[in-house]
Amino acid sequence: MAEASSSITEKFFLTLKSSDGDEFVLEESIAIQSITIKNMVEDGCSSSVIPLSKVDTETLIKVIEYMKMHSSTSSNEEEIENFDKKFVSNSINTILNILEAANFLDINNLLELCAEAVANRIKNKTPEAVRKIFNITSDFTPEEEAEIRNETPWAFEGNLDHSLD
Amino acid sequence: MPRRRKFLWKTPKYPNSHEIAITETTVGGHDIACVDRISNLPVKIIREIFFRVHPKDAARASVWSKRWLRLWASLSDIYLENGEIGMLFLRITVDKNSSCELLVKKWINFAIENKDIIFPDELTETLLPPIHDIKNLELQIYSSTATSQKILDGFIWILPGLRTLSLTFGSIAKIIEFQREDDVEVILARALARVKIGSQAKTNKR
Repeated sequence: MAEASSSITEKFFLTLKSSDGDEFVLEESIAIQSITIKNMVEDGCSSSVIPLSKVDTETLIKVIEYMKMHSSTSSNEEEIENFDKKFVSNSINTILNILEAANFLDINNLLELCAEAVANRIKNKTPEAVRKIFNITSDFTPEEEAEIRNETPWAFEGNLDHSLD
Repeated sequence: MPRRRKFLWKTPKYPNSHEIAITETTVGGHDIACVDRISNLPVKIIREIFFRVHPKDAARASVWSKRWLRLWASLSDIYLENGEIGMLFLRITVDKNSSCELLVKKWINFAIENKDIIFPDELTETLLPPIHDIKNLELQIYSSTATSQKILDGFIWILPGLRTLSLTFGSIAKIIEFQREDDVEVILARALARVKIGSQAKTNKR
């Protein structure tokens, strides 16, 4: 929801620069959902461009979308809920990127949302499936792996999910 | 860090939400990671993820790779809030360190707080070796059930060196001092028999 244009003079804008060099101008009130950015603003570092060297353009766009939706002035609860649902259906590559960006930018809600999304890809999965989903290479010998499995046999009981969904 | 594909989009000076492009990156039939990012995430993030899975899921992470075996061993305390008792035994066995008194406290509180979770019928050496260096322990007991005897049996076994036990049941505080090791069981049983253990609502802080 756009705010009345008469209040435009009271708005402050920040320029965020991605690691790819793209610049994004964002209302300060929205951007300070990031505690990292908030601290920079409070320290007076916001007059120029804020470089976010750890966040690429694609990820920064997602993060900005999220912050706009979650800024207190713009959305109702149902909208936010639907947005979040759609947001976590982003690819796992994107989610992992956003997760790291959320950590770097210190946006706790976003970090939690993405952590939940990643957790959902781990729950009840066989180690083989998890390795495929996250591209993890096992450096165990079969004997070593068998030994570790024997230490926690309860963890491998029951019907585990082999799928990559 | 691997460079992701270049996103070709120029930012307008004052973009609004309509002008921000939405990119969906679906990879073939399955949505899988193109590089192993998860193994290199900061530990803080890994903790956030593993707080949200069942301890069984977390334990299976120990066979993903050697790095995950180490990570799993370092994530012990989260299972105290999010776990099952059999696993907690195991966790403490694996990860006995300087904060072990705190871990034991949290663990026992967890056990007592969670009505559904009971101690295994037999506490054997394979589950948890006794921790001798804990002399004093303070416990906040929020609620409990008829399994209190089992809980007692449990931590007498675990903490044979215990000398002072401070129990707080709701607003009732009770400090129990032990003179000799073999007093522990008897005194604890008597103390608990005197203190009414109500079935108060579970107070879960998380």
